[in-house]
Amino acid sequence: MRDTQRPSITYVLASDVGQDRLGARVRFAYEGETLNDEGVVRHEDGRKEIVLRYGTPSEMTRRKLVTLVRNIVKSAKSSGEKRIILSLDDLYGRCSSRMVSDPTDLVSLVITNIEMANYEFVAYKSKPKDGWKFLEEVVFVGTVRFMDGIGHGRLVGNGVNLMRDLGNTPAFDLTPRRLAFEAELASTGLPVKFRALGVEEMQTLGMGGVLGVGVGSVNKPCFVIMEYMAGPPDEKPIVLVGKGVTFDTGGISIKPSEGMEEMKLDMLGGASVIAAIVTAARLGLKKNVVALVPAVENMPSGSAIRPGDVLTSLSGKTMEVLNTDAEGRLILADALAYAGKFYDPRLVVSVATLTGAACVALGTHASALFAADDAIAATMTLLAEESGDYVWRMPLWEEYDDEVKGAVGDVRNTGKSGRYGGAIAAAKFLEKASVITHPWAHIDMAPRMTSADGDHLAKGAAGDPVRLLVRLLERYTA
Amino acid sequence: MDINAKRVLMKYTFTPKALKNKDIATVTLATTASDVTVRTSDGRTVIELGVGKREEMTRRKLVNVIRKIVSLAKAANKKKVALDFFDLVFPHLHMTPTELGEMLSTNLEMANFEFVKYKSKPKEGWSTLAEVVVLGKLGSDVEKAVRKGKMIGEEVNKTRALANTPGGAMTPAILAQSAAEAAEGLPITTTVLGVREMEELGMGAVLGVGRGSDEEPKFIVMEYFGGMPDEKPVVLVGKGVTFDTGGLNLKSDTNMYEMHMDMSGGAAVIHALSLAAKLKLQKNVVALVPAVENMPSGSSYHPGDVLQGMSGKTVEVLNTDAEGRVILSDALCYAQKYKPRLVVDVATLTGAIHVALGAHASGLFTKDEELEGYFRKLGEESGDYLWPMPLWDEYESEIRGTFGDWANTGKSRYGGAINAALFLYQFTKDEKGKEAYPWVHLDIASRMTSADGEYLAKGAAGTPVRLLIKLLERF
Repeated sequence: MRDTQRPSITYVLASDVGQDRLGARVRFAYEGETLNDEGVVRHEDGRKEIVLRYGTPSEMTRRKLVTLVRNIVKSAKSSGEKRIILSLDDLYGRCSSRMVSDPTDLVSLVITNIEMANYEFVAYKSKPKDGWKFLEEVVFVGTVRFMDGIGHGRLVGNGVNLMRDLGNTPAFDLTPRRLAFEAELASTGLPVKFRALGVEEMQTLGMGGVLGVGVGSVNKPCFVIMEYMAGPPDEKPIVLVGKGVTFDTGGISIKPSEGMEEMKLDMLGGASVIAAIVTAARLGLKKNVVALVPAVENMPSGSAIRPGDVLTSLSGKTMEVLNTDAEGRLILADALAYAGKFYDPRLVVSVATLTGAACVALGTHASALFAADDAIAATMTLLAEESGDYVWRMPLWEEYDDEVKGAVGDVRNTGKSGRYGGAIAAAKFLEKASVITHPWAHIDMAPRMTSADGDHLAKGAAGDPVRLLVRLLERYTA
Repeated sequence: MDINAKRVLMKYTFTPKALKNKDIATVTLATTASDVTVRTSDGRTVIELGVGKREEMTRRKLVNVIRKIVSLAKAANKKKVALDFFDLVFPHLHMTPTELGEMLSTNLEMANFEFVKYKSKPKEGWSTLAEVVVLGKLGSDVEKAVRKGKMIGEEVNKTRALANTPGGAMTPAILAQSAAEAAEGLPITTTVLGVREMEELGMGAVLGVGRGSDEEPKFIVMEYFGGMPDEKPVVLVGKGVTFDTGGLNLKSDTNMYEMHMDMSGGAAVIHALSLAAKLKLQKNVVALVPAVENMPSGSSYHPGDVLQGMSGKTVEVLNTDAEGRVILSDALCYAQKYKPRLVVDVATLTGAIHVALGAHASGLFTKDEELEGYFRKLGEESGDYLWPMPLWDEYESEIRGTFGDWANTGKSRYGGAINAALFLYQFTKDEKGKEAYPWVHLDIASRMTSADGEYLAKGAAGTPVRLLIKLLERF
């Protein structure tokens, strides 16, 4: 990957900054104060303030706190402030217990979101004469009790931004093999075991899904395996599976040209599981974690698979390809089968920018969550709320089984009702084609592929659901 | 409208002992995976309906098993079936005999329904079932429950018949007439507001949508006050677009033929109310149906028009094909005058909910988590299945208007069902911006027509009459 050209932020914890006039102090509007505009205010004596509205106690939620923090950074960046001063005592005093659990939680949340809001993908841009407008220093006015959250928040934020860098990098520079290389690079120096299977190894194993989808591109597919085993040796691992389609043209069932440039982001599921396992290692979690990323490029060519072709998955199931643009589920079926075959996971989570139907269903504010198990769904929903990577559960009822029954093969890769219930049919396909028997949750993150209006995040990859995955690895106990 | 024209009504008889009549097909449940129809040596017909392992039966599957009895009998050319009531008892489902009796006849009726009004009678007659013999020693309460289930099933079928009626024969005036007929002989007050009355009330939203059609819009008000005089009513609101061309934002040709069913929500609330009266529920219930036809013409409302409805808030029309929410906004405002304890609106509202949920569930939207749980349970028990969808504040920016208060479509093409629900939510608030009543919105577009595998005739599915009647009984 290219140089990100982003400086890292220095965090300073000070008990009192006195008359320090460098940078802008963050202040929340007083009750009854009339604000023309939120943002930076320059006083005649040279003081600078970032004045924002803080909602009334009954209005404020954890969600609103997240956007408020990002808005601070956005305000600073838009007026070129590189240093801000924020009173943690003041902020913590305003938070109710249903918003944050303790000072560590608050600081971690604040820093993660400062990092996310400071992010901009400028790797391919020339530096402007007056430099980039990134925030460089944050001075927290507070006491030592806030200290613990600093490192945690930063590592999580950096994990999210790593995922966004991988996603935003153009497909020309991020082929399946480059994605594997970046994953290896990110885990260098960490106790993470990295391996990537090539075409021959996949042929030996019988991974017909990955091989079939990848056969149309000159950029050969590969299968990334990362293991971080820092937990007790007898503890079953959590396996994260991420879709890594480095560019999705749709293949022979080619997509319309409008919006196709966003399809470089079709590997964000893969990038998020890579970022999550790397972050888990950086945080030194005492857990056993595996990340699997089938990485392919889906291209139309003389060697590509065609509608009507039948591929055999690692699971042994035959998959009827009715539409080559429903390729994500074909490669994920192999990966899920791999998870069951070579590990005995206590939980498998698949993450994928899988369907447009999920976007139509949920708009741009929540990823679709599928889990047959109510308890897993409830846990994931709670962790999602806490992390800021919001999800909404969708049905995985038996009534939909028929949608993916194949005519020529065991399963068909598009639902019989076409676009109706498309996200559900995709989840059903994964369930049936991979023959998954372990506890499983599936996140269709297509609705959260790019940042939405009101997120106060840079255009491009939004970073979901890295925070959720890290929290899951930290907290999941079943 | 006489939906039973040309059709025989099904009869239920109860007998404790098995019958040997040759014209009756006896149905038994088998633990096999497939079904077998056998002719015994004495000439009787026995249908073995394969249900797999009995311990794997679910309430949902049982619904389909009951309906399948009808299709298997038809396939065997039998007009009468006999079945042992206790064959249908699955202890692990924890259903009371009366609950099962009601479910049995409701679903037999639904499965036996076919909309043949516009078809010529075949030489051999309609292949509908004429009689069901329920075997087993049953208490009178079970027989009563079977009769009640029959009433529910028939009301569902009347809803389907209304919805199936072509747009040319189902105008706002005819829908209003059908409502009056559904109330006939029952203690229901039906009032139909015409254009002038709506003008006086300031219902600019209904009037705006209805402007393009030669058929004048109507606003149907049905009141059934069977409860205590001081009990606040439950208000049911149903979308009654008798035909939806999309208006000037004309729909593409592929699916327009089904748009005569865009009054399915209205039909459902009309018949749920009439059923409540027939069952003599001691509840106060109101049904409101804004009825319009959405047509492109020289007098149509335009994209860009700003309509002011009864609430005083303005609606910026970005797409004339998002008309359902526009007319419902007036109805939700009108509902406030009843100071209701609950308002439920039912509408074939968005294609997005169909994309979201496929054909097996309607979308459930409410701000109230308790109501969400309550309705999901009602859905499972009644067979009108629901799935909750988000109604988060985050989506509200999608529908903020540029020239009016609220825009009738979202800014992006995503989350269409959520945007529509949030639009409606704005009109459940009073002039001070407070929620005027607890509110539930059901987007039934995904369940407008029957799905494969549920053993119902093609066309309208009749959702969610069964759920609404359960609600009115219990809430």
